[in-house]
Amino acid sequence: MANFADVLQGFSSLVIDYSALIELVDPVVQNSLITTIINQNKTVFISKSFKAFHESVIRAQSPNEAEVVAATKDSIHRLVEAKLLRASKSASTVDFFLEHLKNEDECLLIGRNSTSFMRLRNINANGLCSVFVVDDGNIRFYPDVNACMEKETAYSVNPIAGNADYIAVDIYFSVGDVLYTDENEQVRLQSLISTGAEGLVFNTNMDGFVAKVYHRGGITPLRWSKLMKMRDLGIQAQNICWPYKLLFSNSKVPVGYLMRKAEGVTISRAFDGPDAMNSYFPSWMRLHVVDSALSFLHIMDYLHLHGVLVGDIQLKNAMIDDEEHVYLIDIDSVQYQDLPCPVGTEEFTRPELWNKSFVSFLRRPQDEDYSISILVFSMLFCGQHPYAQRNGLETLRDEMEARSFPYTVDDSQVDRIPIGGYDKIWDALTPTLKDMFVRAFSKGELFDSVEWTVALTAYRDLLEKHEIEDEEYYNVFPYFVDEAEEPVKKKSGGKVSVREAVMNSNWNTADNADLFEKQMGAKEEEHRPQPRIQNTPKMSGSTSGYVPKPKPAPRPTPSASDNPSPFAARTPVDKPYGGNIAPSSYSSPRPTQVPQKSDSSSVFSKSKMAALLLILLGIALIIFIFYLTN
Amino acid sequence: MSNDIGGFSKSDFGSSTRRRLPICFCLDISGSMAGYPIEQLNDGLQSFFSSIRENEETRSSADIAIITFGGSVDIFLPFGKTSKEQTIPRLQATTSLTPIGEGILTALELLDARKIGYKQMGIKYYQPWLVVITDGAPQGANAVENMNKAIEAVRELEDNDKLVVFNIGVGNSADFPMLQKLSGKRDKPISISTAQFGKLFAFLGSSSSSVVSNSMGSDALYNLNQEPEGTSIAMEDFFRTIEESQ
Repeated sequence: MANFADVLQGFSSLVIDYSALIELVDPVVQNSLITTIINQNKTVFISKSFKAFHESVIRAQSPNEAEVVAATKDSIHRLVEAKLLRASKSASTVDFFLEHLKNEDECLLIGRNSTSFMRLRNINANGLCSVFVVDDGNIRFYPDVNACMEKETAYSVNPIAGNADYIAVDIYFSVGDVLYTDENEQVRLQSLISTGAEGLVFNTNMDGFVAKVYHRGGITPLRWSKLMKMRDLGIQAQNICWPYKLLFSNSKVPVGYLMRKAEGVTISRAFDGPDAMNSYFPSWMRLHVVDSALSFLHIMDYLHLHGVLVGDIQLKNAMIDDEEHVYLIDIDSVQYQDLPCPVGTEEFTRPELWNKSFVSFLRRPQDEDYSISILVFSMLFCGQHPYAQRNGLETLRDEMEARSFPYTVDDSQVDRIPIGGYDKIWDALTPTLKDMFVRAFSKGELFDSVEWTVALTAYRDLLEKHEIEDEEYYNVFPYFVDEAEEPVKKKSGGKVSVREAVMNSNWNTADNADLFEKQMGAKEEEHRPQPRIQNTPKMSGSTSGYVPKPKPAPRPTPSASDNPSPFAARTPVDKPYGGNIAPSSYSSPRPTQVPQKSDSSSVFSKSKMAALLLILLGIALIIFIFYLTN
Repeated sequence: MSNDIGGFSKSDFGSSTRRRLPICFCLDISGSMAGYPIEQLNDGLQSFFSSIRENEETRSSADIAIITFGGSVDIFLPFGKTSKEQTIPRLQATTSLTPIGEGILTALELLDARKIGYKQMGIKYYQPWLVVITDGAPQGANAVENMNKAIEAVRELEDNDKLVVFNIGVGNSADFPMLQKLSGKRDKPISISTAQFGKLFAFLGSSSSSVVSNSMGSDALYNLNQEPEGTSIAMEDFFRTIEESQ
């Protein structure tokens, strides 16, 4: 550390990217580094990403990172106490770097294996500031950014990626079979969870862990070498189903890997329009939707911090148990170091990449930013895609290429927004989010996951503090009208077109027609929404103008109230950020998450009880009159 | 706004945000299909529907209609009527002729109307599939003329990437030269025996799920080969490849 202290003497201030602290690994080293900074009285600049990354690490609850998290909390506290911490207003990592790169008397401390470092490289700026690169516990110094980038070479795609060969052994596994880890531990396959295009997933005898076993041909050199690297990286986050151990047959043939088990339902299934949302999360408010999106973003922030680009981002690659518990699944395809992510879907991929082979290049953080913007929109809009629209171009592909985004800040093209209440979800957003979406989807601007995290956090705080006037805006679907319920008008008279003749179908047989009629009846029944708690009418009699919303009913899962969420302790950065940090960037941590959930004693206010009593009295009266008249 | 959306009502589209894959089956139930063939077709169709329902991806995405031709052209199952619980009634063979051309033209009408509906609702969609299954040749009044019209219409859509065609002939008496003309992208029509309906529908089911779960490229739809892409190599070679790459 003497070396670090000597070099630091020459600079007026230090710019710290959060990744550097994670990559210092050893808490003792971090501690002595902070001591040096404090002893030399150097100002430390951090960006908003610092807080977002910190929260993502706390949320991940990685057992092997508990020490570094504690050390980082302590470091922040010490720097705040010493009044040395300065927070930048910019949430964008790139903007933050640009603010400081030109300053010759500053020095940047950054993690070598993070996406922040990739972004720094991609700026391609003639930076005058010096750089300390932290690489897995080692620190290297460079007098300027160019020198740094020259020595710290970028990864180029590993040619193994294009090799589709696979092992010539036909082995099939099913329930009851035993597999082996590298350390020769036995893993018994206990029951089949799912069958996918790539392989099967089984419950195992190891509590909380499941096994993915690939189909024949599924284990390519790219896949297996990536799984080995991922296992070595050793991510133990609770919300990521990371390859924990590799699995082999008894004859040592690679067959799959062991990972943490995810709970809940695939996000794409629940976030699929009003009916699906209501059936999976009937008590949800908009706050829960925003919190779910934030939970997903924290996982993205966390992986970016560790240099992993997810690549194939989509709603079906994550599961959700509740708004605080989102799990990333199917992550054996991620991009890590020189191994690319070989897959992707059109709906979440930048049009520039559509016609390229995904194994032929490494994705850039900017490419991931695009996918994340689609992800954020899709979650806030309960599954709707930003480019889905009425009377648009021939295909979604065309819409994406033309950046034809139907939502506008002035609501000038509201008739292009898909039917189903999505225009009202748009209305309920904050101006910042609307502005970001329009810039992202109409103008092609990119925002990183931290910027979305910051914007969504601001939105969720407004919802939680009840600072939005319109009560409807607290609902998952504000001003929801179930248009599918409108009766079908039968056209009568006039000329009937061929198509209508076709539509009004000549049934095969009378029997079939009857059968379908019945089935149609059954379908209508199924689509009838359950009573929505969100639509509870406003209570009158509030004098303050602040109308407390009825609290959502506790989730039916018994664990919700019995076991405190393991994440309940995530925010207590026990010493609040303070000192001379700009108040706008760091407010004190949120007191509790979603107080509505646990606060069941106040579910019924007195006035509500009175109303309930009145209704009951009314019903009794009606029954009484009914008996009298009979 | 009006409830009439391309001939449908809003409820016919459901509230899912999924990108839809409209599939119109155009099935031959003429006299020659009576007995064993129609039973096999029915079994294949039933298992196709249950696999669509079991798959999370296709359940809300696959949007299916069935047209039959045998004597007359009928809409056996209109769009917007498939849901998880529904059972598909079994087809019955007729004793009459094979108006394939009319059947296909009706299917195109139906698909077009469905697409108009999607557009008006603001629902994302994949380009539709037309699945024609026949064991014979066009028959009936104006049969050849209608067939030529159908071929022309289908090819125009296919050429513009607005339709994916599955042209399937059953047994030996199917008019393969006619089926061949239905697609310019498929080297030759898919030829199956009456015993292979199960396999055919399994292929259609897995193809539809691969389209909706991985929307990049549709070339695979023209390739019935489901073998892994690469070559199978010895384990030592496999590990050597990995070692050399590091």
